[in-house]
Amino acid sequence: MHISPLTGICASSLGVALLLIVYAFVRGSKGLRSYIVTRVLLTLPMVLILVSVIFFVMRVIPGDPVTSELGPRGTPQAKERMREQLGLNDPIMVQYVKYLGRVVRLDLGTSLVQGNRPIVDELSERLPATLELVVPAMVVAVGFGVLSGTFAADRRKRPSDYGLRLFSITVYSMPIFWLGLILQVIFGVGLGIMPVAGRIDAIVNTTLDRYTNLLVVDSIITGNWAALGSSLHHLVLPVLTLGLALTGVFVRISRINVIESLVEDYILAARARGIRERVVVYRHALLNALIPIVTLIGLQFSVLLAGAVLTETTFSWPGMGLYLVERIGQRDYTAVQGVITVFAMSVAIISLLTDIIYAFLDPRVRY
Amino acid sequence: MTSTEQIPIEDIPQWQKDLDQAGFVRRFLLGRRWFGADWWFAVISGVLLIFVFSMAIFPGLYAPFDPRQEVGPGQLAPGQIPPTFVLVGESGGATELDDLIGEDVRIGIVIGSESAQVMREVAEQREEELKAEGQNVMLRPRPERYGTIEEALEGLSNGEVPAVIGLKDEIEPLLVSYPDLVIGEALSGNIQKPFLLGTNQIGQDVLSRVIWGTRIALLVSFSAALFSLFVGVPLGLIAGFWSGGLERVLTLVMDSLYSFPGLILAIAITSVLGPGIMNVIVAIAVLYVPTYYRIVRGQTLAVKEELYVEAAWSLGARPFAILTRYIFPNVIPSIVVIFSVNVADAILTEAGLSFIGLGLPPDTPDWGIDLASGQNYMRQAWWLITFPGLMVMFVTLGFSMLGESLSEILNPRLTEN
Amino acid sequence: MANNTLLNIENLSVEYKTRMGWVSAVDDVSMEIRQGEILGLVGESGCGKSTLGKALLRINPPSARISGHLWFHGEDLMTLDDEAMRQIRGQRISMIFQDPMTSLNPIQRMGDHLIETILTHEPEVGKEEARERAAALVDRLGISSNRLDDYPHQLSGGMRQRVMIGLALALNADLIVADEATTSLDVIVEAQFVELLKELRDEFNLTILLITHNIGLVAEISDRVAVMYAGRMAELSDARSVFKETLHPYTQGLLKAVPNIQIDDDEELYMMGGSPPDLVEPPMGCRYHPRCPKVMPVCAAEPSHFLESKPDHFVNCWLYEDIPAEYADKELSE
Ligand SMILES: Nc1ncnc2c1ncn2[C@@H]1O[C@H](COP(=O)(O)OP(=O)(O)OP(=O)(O)O)[C@@H](O)[C@H]1O
Ligand code: SF4
Ligand SMILES: [Mg+2]
Repeated sequence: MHISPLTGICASSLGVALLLIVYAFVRGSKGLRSYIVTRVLLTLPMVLILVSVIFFVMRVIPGDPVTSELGPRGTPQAKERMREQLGLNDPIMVQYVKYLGRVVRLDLGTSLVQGNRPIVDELSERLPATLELVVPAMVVAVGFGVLSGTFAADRRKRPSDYGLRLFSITVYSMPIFWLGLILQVIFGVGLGIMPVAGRIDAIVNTTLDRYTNLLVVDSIITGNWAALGSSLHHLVLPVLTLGLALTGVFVRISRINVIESLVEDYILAARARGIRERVVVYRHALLNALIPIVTLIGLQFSVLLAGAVLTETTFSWPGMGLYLVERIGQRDYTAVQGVITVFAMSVAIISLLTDIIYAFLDPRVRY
Repeated sequence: MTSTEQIPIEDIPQWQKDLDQAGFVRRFLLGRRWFGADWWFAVISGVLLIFVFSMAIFPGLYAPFDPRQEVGPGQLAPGQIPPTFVLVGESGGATELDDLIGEDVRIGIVIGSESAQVMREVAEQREEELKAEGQNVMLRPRPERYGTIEEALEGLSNGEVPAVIGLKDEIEPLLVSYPDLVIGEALSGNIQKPFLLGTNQIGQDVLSRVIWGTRIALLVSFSAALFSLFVGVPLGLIAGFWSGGLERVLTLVMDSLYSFPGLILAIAITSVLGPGIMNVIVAIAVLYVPTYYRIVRGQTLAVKEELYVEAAWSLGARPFAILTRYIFPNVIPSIVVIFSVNVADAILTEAGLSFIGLGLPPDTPDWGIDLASGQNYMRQAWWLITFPGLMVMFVTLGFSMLGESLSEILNPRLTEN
Repeated sequence: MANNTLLNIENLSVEYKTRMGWVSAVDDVSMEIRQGEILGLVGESGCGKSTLGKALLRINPPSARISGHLWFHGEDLMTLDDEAMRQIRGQRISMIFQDPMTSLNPIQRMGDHLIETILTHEPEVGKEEARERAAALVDRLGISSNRLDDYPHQLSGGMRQRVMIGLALALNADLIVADEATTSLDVIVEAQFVELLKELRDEFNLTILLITHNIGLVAEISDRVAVMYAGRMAELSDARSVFKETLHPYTQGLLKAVPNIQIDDDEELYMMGGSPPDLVEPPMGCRYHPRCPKVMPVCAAEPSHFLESKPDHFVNCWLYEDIPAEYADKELSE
């Protein structure tokens, strides 16, 4: 039986999410349980709303997908055929219901340009690339951002605090694609030590057997060390770009929340008990601040996705973002709608997960 | 004795009383002492922004050239002087373009150099001039191609061509071996000053484009942020004030929109709307409505519970009066902060959209567009991607620094101790 | 009384840097805290009681500037480095705060608070042993030890305050600073709490600096009472003397302002005129002089000194001090 990578990755990440939820459900108190149930139920309208917004944005606002796809020169017959094919002649509500029905079955339609390939198949090649970029970037940004934000909070109003804040606003103000371009000019063109495009060297690529399409994972399980080196090498600049851009936000978030928890009474009380300063700041204050930080980081997931689109464009990284941009250029309307739908669903799932983690972390939550 | 009387709590801190007495200017200056570096952040970014605004309003005053005009040779590095092309002729022969009027005149050039283009342009220009003076003449020299400049000069001294066009710096040292040749008219000499930030691939002045880009960026980001302010704030006030079923649905929609990646939504909208400045503004404005809505609604909910609002209710104040007189003033500080952060974000989003190739017409002097086209010349011309990006960064930085320091100054939760 | 001083405070001053200038929250305070006593510290809100209490552990916020000496077991705490001072905190001197809800880490279990404190100061103790000690301690304080795994929000207010005491007692500290430790409790719980404090004092030979607004409480359990006004010490003596043979005009006003349950209905409660001074620019001379009914010319010009005017009864007022000649003349001429 053939399982496409997208299905595999979706299934496994949904599985992990499900496991987490079930774990929280079993371990948690009664209040937490009912909260989880409500929250899961609330996710459905959220997905519905996002998907509907996408549908109506793509369909109702002026501009006609057929005209924009065939261009003004398309013959009336060709246009008519296309309308028929896309189901655009049905009343809008019928189209809407049909669309929802297909989304539920994870059927995103077929591409208009790539020989009618199913969008799901195309995305199954692209999603792993995006994951491979986004996950390490998130790790870099969270690790560095939260720690230095805490550090800045601890030194509030001292030079290192102002320095870190200036740093965070500066990277936050950089257009992420520009940051990528500058890194390319310095390390790729100037020093010539970093590749500026793609996921792996073309030659090495031919030697790599693909299972998951996560190149790092594939090269490890097949023991192809050349491929591992090459794919890691290609990862450095994109991950640095995306990670750095997010770091700015995380420094801010962590700093403010740690400052807020540092003025709490229990911090003074812990100091009065002679608890070590490091423990006071990084355990008592940071752990308390982590609760809001987790939520805020969950909200930054959308910034991460937007950043991924630009990073992929800059580095010709064949992920979902580049796919979106390419297909807009080729006027592949179904593909655009499909990929945005996938973005929307991942946003909803992540937001569900962060809320549940939040509730689980905070012993006070009693809904 | 079992009494537990407590001594009354001190009411308003002294500094606040003093503050109420200080005048506006004094308060502003005092801020420097109270808020330390945050005050400086705010003031510096304020000054920076005033400069940026003046640039957006009067780009012509700052920009040396028209941003769309091709004013120099392509890909000239910053500070590099444009090369001078000269006409070389035999002494006593042709030393000016006007000497070469006629049909089928041939001029020696080096293959692959820019001389041919220079020749064509200058000749056309001169012909126009002469036509304007009333002389209807033919000035259409044809290029005679040589492999090197030495070969061309050789050909000239052999009489194969009446003149040669080449780079002044290359020709001068060679003239020692051709005593009968002289350097004549300089042909590309209208601009001998270097371009401060260089020129782009088609010879437009980078500095001028960067300056004119300010106008587009601020126009788009301000209109978008204002637009979402005027939609989001009233909605948030109303939703916070009158809770109900409609408000819950609205909140759910806004929360969903808020969680969705802004740039991707903007991409979706512009890809359907098509290019055009209005479409970009609308697409970006949609993104920020939820931000205002959420914050304003939350604060309205909180202020509604305050004692003085309840007191106003009990005194029979009308809902509209309560909204405008008690609740709205309380949300103003947040609105100011969100606005400046949104403008910053809108600049980035707009740049991102044009970088992807959505949004504005390709010839617009816009930072994102310039960055996208500069990416193709990254290897030869670093300045094409450096300066527009720096500009985005500075302007965004101005707005986010203003927002950040304002929120630090206005946020009572962060006031120390 | 035998001079068994535990902590000798010498010329202690604390100032806070604020937007309007330096706030002189504690000004040139000298006094001793004796082994085994309960010393009540009272005064109007904002007079610097908490600042003084915190200064004993040197945990004032970074904006504070402290000077003076704190002699404790032959050492000046002011000269200790941060690490040495940290070891004193919790182990030798500990503090109980006003609000037990916010003074406990909301995401740390009750037992972990205790275990963390024990392990920080006595790293050689094993985790198991620390847990046993914590259990024994809360047991002694009247909380069932199977609640060690509860989070603070699961405990009642009285229980939380007991946990706070437990934290202060965990390492047999010599001196406990209790800053308004009973303010947030209701009257009945407060009475139990006070009873517990007394018992513990006898059992562990504790010394307690009891900071409070509650004069009744002070009268009930304190051995000695210190009265503060606007950052300065006004009066200090054993409880009986302070309440029955009150010397300082401020203490007299303060005591008159305390409502008495037996008071006749038609007797008006005394209201002290004026309000506490702004500590950024405190009044010259005696800080109480703008409100003092017995003010003299010298009071506005020179600060009086904190002197032992009767045996073991200290007071800070020109009424009990020799007035310098130039002001004495003035008074005569008036
Ligand atoms: N961190 C600080 N920064 C600036 N000023 C402060 C700070 N803490 C206290 N103060 C000021 O110092 C003075 C003494 O404050 P303190 O908290 O010691 O008074 P208190 O006697 O404990 O009052 P209360 O009875 O209300 O607890 C007050 O005027 C207060 O405004
Ligand atoms: S010194 Fe003077 S002003 Fe101060 S308390 Fe004594 S009598 Fe009153
Ligand atoms: Mg206090």
